[in-house]
Amino acid sequence: MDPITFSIIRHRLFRIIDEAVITLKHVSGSAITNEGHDLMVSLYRADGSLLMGGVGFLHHLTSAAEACQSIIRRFKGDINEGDVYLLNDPYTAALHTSDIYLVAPIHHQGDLVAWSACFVHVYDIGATNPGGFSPDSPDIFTEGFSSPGIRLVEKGELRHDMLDTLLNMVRSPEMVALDIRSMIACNNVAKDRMHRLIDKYGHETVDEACSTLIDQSESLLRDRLRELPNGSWQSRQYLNVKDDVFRVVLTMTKQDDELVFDFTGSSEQAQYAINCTKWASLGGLFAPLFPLLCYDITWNEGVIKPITMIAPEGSIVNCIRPAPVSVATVGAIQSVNNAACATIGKMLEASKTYAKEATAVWHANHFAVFKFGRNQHGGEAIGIFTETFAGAGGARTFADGVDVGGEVPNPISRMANVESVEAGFPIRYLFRRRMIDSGGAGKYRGGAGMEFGVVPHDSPDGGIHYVVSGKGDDFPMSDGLGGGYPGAPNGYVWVHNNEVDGDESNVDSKFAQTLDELPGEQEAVTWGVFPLMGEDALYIRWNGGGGYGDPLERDPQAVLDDCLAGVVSFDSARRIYGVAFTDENNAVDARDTEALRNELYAARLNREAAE
Amino acid sequence: MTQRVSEYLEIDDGHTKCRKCGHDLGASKDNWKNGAICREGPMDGAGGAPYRSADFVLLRLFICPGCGLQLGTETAVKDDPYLEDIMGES
Repeated sequence: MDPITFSIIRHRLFRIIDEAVITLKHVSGSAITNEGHDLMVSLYRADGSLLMGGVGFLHHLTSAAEACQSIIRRFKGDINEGDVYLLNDPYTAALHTSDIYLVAPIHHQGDLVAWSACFVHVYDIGATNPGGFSPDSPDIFTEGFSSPGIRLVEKGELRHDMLDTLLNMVRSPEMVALDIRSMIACNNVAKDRMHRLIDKYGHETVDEACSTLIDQSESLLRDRLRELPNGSWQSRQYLNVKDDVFRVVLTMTKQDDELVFDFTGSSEQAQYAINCTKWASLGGLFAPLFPLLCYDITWNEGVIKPITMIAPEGSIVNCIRPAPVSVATVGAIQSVNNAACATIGKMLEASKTYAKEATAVWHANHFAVFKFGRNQHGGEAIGIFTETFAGAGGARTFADGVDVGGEVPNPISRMANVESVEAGFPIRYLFRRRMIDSGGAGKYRGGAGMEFGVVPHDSPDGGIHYVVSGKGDDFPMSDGLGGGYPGAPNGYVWVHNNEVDGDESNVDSKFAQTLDELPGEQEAVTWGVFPLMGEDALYIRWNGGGGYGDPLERDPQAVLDDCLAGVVSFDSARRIYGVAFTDENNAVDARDTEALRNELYAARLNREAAE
Repeated sequence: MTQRVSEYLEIDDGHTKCRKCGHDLGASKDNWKNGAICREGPMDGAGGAPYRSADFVLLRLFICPGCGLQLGTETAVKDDPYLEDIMGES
């Protein structure tokens, strides 16, 4: 077709999604949506296959395609103009129950021509624990409202009986209603803009452009794969809950123009809600694949065709109903993200042409800490610490990772301002800053994560509670690349201070600037519900990105700059990077640095340093 | 003709070698890590203060026996096998 028209239509499709995302953010009242950007909007073809993947959490792009196809199968012959369908069952297509899909058919002159789909992590879904991540749920039955597909809007009319049934099963129904309405509005905008596009260019032309776009993406990815070396690369991600350790093991094999992701060897499904279903694993591996291999290729069905996934049934990456999955997005799905990022990074690094595109693993351990309770305004408040979306960049083959630089699976993730959080929750931040020594050491350093501490403040009930889940705090998960260290592990600390009396009580904690300045007993918390009451404090730090290359090859001046910026300690500078400084710690001592590095090389080889 | 494996490794004449010193780490069809020195120790403090992990979490550093270059790293639980990266025919 005419290349100019093709290009215009392609860019219009991008813009349709952008506009729909803006709508979602503006209508939803949830910080997780409009501050953290835990959302996704994409367009699908009439058969439900991916047409144009949007931004947000990318592991939803393929799952929402399955959601569309599931709705097509379930409502065959009865899909009408103006309908909107809701689906959030993880064993049908969704990732976990709190990530609700709303999918809407787009008709033109009576014919079904496309679908729009979106999700947000709704304010609550009625699981055992508030907020959707439910560590106390032993099975899917206790993870809240779950539907394999219902018609929420029929021919343009909201079915209040359906919506009210959902709202009757969740906490803070007014906020969940806003989330649902934001998704309806989002789909309406997508549909309206698609209508305008088709009205302008005609259905046949738009359809041809869409078909060409998919063929083009497949062709471009296959060409790229042929340029990359053949081989197989492995990655292993650990998850720990309480005293149990689980593994996601990946062998990625690239042959000619195809990639196989084989998760054989991964742990059997867990009793904890860290499992994920096969749709979630598929999305999990595509989330890093889209930006790392297809950064200049349109994300659609064409990209999916050269990829095969093997996920053993009954494993942690393909669990069997009724295994619990509410923590999946920060559990096995993120482990799949990380493992795929690591293997793709190694494959890219093996290519002279593409080595500059390789990256160590970014922010690999989300901390899903949901605070809940009555707030200073008398309302019920539930919300995640959106700091988990701030992330940390993995080091590249030519540059450091970006400090607090987000994550690969969500190109638009970010965190809320401290003031926004304090306005909605009865807590006060004591400090929030980059975490020293959190970025993996290397010739290029992994981006730093952060640390923060909070205390109750102005609460009508003396404080609130919080739900902690995820993959634990024992394992570093942001793997290094090419000899770089992994980023530091997460840490969650409940500081008990209610037992301290009199002059030793928490007066100083109101001005504490570090974890160690907080008086009281420190207890690591990784799974369950805990109080932030009275004089309690909560401290969280999150992982840095993985490093790249041997730390002894890092430019000593860059190490000094990191030390002066408070991102690397002087102890690590000497011990890991082998950099010595002048007495004032304000300049590199080149001679001592050379001697120190020779010592460290020799120690690695177990012999005396050369004179 | 050599095949790049990483910035520090390449395959030359069917063998994986260190690109800095040329040390032979074994046949390219085998795991090059078996030809490297593996320094395995607790993660605790390995990378600085925030690396506070349980005793069973290990950091493996794979070192070139020829020049001491750090070729690769892995996080592992004791006795878990080395990860394998094997380049094929290209």
